[in-house]
Amino acid sequence: MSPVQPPPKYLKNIINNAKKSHQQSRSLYYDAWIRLKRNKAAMVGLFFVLILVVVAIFAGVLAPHDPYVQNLEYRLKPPTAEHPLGTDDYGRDILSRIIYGARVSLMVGIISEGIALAIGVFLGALAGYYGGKVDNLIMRLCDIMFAFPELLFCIGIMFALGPGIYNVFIAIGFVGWAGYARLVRGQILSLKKMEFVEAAHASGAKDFRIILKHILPNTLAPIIVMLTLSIPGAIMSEASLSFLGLGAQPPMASWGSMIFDGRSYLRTFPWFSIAPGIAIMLTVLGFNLFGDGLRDALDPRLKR
Amino acid sequence: MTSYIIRRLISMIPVLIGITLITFILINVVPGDPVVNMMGKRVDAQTIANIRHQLGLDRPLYIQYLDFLLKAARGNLGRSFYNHQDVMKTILQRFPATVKLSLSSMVVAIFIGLTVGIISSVKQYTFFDHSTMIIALMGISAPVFWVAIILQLIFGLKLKWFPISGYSGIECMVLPAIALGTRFAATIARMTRSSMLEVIRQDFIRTARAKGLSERVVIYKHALKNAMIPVITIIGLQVGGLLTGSILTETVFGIPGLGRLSIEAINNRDFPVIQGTVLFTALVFVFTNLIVDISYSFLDPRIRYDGGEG
Amino acid sequence: MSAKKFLAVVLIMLVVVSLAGCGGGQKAGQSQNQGQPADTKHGGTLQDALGGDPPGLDVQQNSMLETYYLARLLFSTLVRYKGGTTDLEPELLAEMPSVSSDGLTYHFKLKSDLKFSDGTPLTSKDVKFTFERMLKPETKAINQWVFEPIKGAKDMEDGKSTELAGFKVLNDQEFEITLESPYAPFIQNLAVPCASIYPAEATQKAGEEWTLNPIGSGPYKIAEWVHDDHITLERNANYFEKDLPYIDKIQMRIIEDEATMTMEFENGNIDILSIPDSEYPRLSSDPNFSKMIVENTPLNTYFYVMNENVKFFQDVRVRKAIAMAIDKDKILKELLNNRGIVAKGLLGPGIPGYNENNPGFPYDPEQAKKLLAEAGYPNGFEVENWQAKNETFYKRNVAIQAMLKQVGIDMKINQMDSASWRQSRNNGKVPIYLANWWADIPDPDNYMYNILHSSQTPQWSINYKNPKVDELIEKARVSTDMNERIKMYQEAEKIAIYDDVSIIPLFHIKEYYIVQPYVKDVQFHPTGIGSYNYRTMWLEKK
Repeated sequence: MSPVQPPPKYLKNIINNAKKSHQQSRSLYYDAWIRLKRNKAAMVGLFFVLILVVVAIFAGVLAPHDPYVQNLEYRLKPPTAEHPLGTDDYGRDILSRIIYGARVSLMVGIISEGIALAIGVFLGALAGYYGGKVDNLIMRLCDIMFAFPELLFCIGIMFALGPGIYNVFIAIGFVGWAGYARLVRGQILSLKKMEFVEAAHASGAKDFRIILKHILPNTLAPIIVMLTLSIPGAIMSEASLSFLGLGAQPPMASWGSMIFDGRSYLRTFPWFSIAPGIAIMLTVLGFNLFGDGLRDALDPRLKR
Repeated sequence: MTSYIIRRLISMIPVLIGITLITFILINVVPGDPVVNMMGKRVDAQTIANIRHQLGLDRPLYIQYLDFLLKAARGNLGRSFYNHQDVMKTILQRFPATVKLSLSSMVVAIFIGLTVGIISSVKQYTFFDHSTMIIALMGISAPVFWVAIILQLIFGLKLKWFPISGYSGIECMVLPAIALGTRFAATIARMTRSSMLEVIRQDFIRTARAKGLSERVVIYKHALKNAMIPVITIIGLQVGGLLTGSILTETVFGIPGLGRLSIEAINNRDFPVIQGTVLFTALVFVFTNLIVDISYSFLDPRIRYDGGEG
Repeated sequence: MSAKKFLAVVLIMLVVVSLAGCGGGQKAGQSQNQGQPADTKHGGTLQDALGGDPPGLDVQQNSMLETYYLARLLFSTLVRYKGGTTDLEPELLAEMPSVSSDGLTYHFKLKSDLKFSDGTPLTSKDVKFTFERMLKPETKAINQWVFEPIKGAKDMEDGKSTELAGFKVLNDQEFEITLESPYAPFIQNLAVPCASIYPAEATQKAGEEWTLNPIGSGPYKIAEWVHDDHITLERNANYFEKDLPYIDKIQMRIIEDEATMTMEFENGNIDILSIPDSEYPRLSSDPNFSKMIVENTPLNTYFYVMNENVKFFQDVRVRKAIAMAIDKDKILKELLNNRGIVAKGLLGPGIPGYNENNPGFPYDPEQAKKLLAEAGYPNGFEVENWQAKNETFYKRNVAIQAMLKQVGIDMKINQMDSASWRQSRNNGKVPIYLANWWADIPDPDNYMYNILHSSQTPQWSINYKNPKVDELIEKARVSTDMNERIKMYQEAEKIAIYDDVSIIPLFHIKEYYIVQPYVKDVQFHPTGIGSYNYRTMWLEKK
């Protein structure tokens, strides 16, 4: 681990851009939106993301059946009009379970990354603003987080917290903060020396206020991009944990656990395992496309 | 350069100690006791107390930790609670399988990633560009364990082209390498494409073109060379990720690597093996990063590490 | 770096990888038959599979299925089960031991000319060493129970003595064992794989590494063990039964994943396999595979545990209501494909004391609701099921969860990792869960004492205590009259299961194996440690 690693290159351009336009940040986002709208792939991504959100919120209305009601006489049935994706090994409607599973994926994306963001921004801001020993300690902690095998760390925290979907969110969030911390720190280091911050200092503003009011808003653009591109990772981590049986608890429907449940029937009832896999793929694809587009939009140098 | 490497090596020490400390805290906070776990269904308090004593688990925690640290510094990671094998020996037995899996996936990833990335950057905004990039993105978006079981089903069971699982020859590595490799191929392809696009826009490429050099020479000789630096970085970082991130692939395909060892150790609460594997993988990760950083200076003569902070 | 150079690097990597691949490559080829009579039965390699890497092969230090399974191949015990039955016959012994009239002293005589696989002779001293090793604290053994009835065993475990008082070596072939008090099933304890006999000298010499490469007197010996990948066994030329075993080599792949294991069988890479629940319907309805299925009835009981320390379960009416709310027939039919029978007591068929006349708990959700209302829970309650992560258990729990919902009980299922769960169960903390017991020995004591005696119920999280049941079990333990014992066990079972509903018996499960047609004369271990009798198995296709 290098003592100070610069943020990834793609973020650097965004950072520079944000710095340049810190005075007129509204126009930065407006411009970005215009650029984003022109990017077809990003719009497709946004569409997928919006579908996920709508499905997750209105799962109760959209699902044709109760995802938890079992019908043991009607197990593992192929798709019919009644059950468009067939039934699982308890006779539950697979489509309804996938619809409810969207909730878990959306929540894992929002809550886990929210936790990671909160910890990361807080520690990154501390490190960047105060520097010295605080900085050193926090950056070493980041190095440790990066070098620690991620899934193992997640599993360790999961075991410590005990089973339950909220503990999955916490575990994934707790493992993923170091990237944000590094990003925020790097920006604060450079912003600190800029005129407007020094002006705020001179006018007697408190440290906390300076960080909150003047510095953080200027780090927003790269953070948004990083967040969008990190959500798929969190969704994937939940799926992996559920695949290992450590994620969502039954009867809760989670895409990862559905893949796991369905894999023994892969040859006879393939849709059982394939359908949730496709759901994950489209969701993650959506976030990736949207995130890419967002990145390009916030970095005008890549303009066509 | 040498002083830079020495500085980097020294800065690793607190990181590695921190990792052992966090691991030690975690294994002691996590519920589940190695001895109770060993006992299975028939539980006897006296037996438990006896084995705990024999394993040194009844000593104060700080003594257990210091004891581990001092021994580890001398390369002694202790013995597994379960099969009593020397942990260092166990790790060195398992490491080759993980390396083999990682390298074969890397070969798949680099081959597919570079090809797709270069072609789609040269043919920017064409149908080929869009469609391969979408496929590449889908590669990133599908869970590895899901791809793995689908590959098993199609190429192992239905077509019988490759073994379904196992570790007894190069043909066993094909499906795992594809399952794990496609994910990184997608990352490499995207990085190659964007890096190439950035380079192509730069002045020296325009100059080269202006000089009348053929497009082929411009792309492969001038652009690619300069576009490779971020790509190599990504590859280097991925190797670290591969070595630590192949747990699910190893499990699905039954490859006896470090990932499976560590999962088993966690499940069994085999403390010495957990400590050993975490420390070892961290060490590998940190060293690959160092090597990647050093290799920059060879790839890009403008980067020098001797002065100031890297 | 030029594109060419880069390509070169990629190529070099390819070569390295393929070389590495070749290096590790070792095919399970045909082994040469050396000095074997050329008949139809001898020779060949059996391709077998294990569900996990054995946590060491020292049977004194663990009781995992994989270890027990290999123990039957690598070691011998003093007595063994005859064929697939629960009757005992001598293995290392020359004849079944004689017992003194007070049931305390046993006289043993070993076969002559016994050898371990390394050629060293097996004598009474090795037997004594094995027994004492198990009981010494330094061994870190966990299976002391098999030798615990012997006089002086406790003193050894407490570190008060270094010799087993109740074991007297008479000469190289003969020895005498004296028990602390009569214990009828003692001889059966000696047939459990953990009572395998070790060579004194080699064991001591190997020290901590013994468990990785032990030496025994069983039909096979270890040729190679690549952890988490495979174990190769080869014929023990010094095996005491002349001409046995038939098969030269056993290649055991280690495959954790049930689905993968089944696929490997279907591709012909595994010769014999215990069929996972989820694969049974498909294999049994496939005309090619259905005729390869073989059935085995091991000794086991699956039951539901309700922790009596949990407020709701202190009331016997609640426990009874749950017993009536679970539709055992339906689970058996729909989830288990009728593999087994509904259990009506703790003791199943094949165990002396099995009571066919037990009525069972009928499925009656209405009556269950009534009982819950009487107990003061007309609207049910919420309770957490804690279970170690296990796919098949999880499926059964999910089905039971839905059934309990019908009577108003909201059972949440928490799958925990097995180590955390074991600790919770051991501390008596698990509220409700699905449990099972696979018999070590075909004696009712093995079930009744280990599950229902109040000294044992806390570590099962059952927390049941009835002095009358304890008394019956303790008395039956030391009685030598089998009829009298059976009567006592049946009475204890009636009180504990039907009066007190301490546990809810669910099923006795059969095992299905699928065996390639060229594997002949497969016999299964009767108590169900998932092992076959390899000594007499042979291959038609080598």
